[in-house]
Amino acid sequence: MATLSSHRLVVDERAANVPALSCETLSYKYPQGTLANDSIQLAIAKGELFCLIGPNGAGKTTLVRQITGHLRPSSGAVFLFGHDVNANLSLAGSLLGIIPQNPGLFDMLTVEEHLRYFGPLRGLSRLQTLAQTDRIINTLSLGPIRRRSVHQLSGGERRQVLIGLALLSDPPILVLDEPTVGLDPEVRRSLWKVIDAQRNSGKTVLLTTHYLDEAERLATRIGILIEGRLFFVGSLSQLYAQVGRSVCVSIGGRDLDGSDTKYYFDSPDEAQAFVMGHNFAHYSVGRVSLEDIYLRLIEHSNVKGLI
Amino acid sequence: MEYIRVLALLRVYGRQESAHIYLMLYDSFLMPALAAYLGFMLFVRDLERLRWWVAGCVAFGIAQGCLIQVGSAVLQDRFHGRLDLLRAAQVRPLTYYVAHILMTTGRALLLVWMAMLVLGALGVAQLGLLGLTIASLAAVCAGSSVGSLGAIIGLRATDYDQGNMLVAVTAVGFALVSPVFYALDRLPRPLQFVAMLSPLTHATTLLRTMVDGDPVSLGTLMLIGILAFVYNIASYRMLRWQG
Repeated sequence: MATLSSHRLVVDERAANVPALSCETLSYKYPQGTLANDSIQLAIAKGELFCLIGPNGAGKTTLVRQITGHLRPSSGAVFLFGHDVNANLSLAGSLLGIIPQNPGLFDMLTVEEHLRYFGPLRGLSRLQTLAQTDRIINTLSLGPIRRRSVHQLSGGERRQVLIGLALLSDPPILVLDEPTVGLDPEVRRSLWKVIDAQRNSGKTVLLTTHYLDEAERLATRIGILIEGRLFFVGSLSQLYAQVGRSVCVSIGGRDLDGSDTKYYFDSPDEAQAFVMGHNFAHYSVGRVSLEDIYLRLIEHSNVKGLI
Repeated sequence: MEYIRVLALLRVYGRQESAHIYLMLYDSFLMPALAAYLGFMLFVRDLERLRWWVAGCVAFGIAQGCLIQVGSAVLQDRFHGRLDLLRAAQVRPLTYYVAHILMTTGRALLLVWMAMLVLGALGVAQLGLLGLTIASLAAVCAGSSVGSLGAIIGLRATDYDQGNMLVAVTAVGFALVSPVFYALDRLPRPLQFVAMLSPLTHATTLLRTMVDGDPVSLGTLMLIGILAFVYNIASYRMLRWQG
């Protein structure tokens, strides 16, 4: 189990089998009666990078806010190393490093000032704050911009500062709510490296994203959340194995909007026979992508047990 | 240990505000000073009444500066995503609230001390240490009350522009309803009742009594304290971290 000693996490041997983060029949109903999350059952092991994907309004941010203790669940519970988040919000605070969706920084503060002033807020002493500031600046390569005010930074640099703030108290779990949204591909890739490095250093990461390539690139396991329900939890290979019709034929420009039309088959032979039977000018045959599966799920989200 | 977090937040907001120091100087010092000078030259023109007039301008400065400062900061925190950042950094609601109120009472104190310095330099009024302490207490209570009103607007506003507009209108309205530039009995009777609920009314009365060299009513000071307590509790209860 996890205990706090002088704001530092001490995890004893028994914690080995306890998930770093788990949700048990977690539901949230808005005061108007809308069900945002419905009986979410989830366990994320220590050192995992779990990617939560889902369309807008699927309930990803609501789930994240419940996990971080910012939203009290209507029913069910969230556990961090076996500790109920809502029973001990301050413990949750010291175990989690959080990047909320669309957070703002203080425009006039420099990168270094952010880290130095937020250290005491996260319970660090002056010396710890100074050491952590230097460590984070080195880890995230913020050296060249350490004395620059936030209003002079690019979108990608701001996200790096946010990651730095989440890492300040060296928490064992990171919760990143769409950290790369709105960034150009190059900056996204550089942030992937940072997130991947955190996973490699032993941290548990929960990442929500719209970008399926991000999930494919980073995740050890993924969860697909649609209309507040977890449709799938598992590794990508498990998803491909379960989904069936894993061969995709894309026919170029047949849709009214000019985009590809896709057909799915159980085997490459079946797909080849389909192609041969028609006279397509442009087509491609390949393994079904996460995006294909995701889109099929969205289209059929009202069909129970699709996966 | 919570005071360390309050100090850290004060550093954050102090550094953020220092970039807009000209706005702070305008709201808290230049505008009241202009009001004091123009009002005195146009209407008062009597050095004996300068004390009375300056005390009103101090209250006007508190209404403008404290309400706008807290209101704008809370609005920016809410609508520019900074509140999410602070929540993620595990800042507690009480820490957040206390930091904002301390910032604003600091501004109110500065205003009172500057006014007393000017009156002292002109030889119009001399406050002893006790007088200055009581004046400071009144400024702290009035500033925190007005600041709490700014926090309520900041927390209740549905969008940033609407909130800013409400903050500006309320700051002027609050100063007008509290008789800072005229005697209380000049107000219509229903407004006199409203004015009695404003800590600024009592703070102005207290400051005027003091600069006139009359004995201070402990009851008035207690009343300002009670009003400040009620205003701050009402405002703090609106601050909800967990949904």
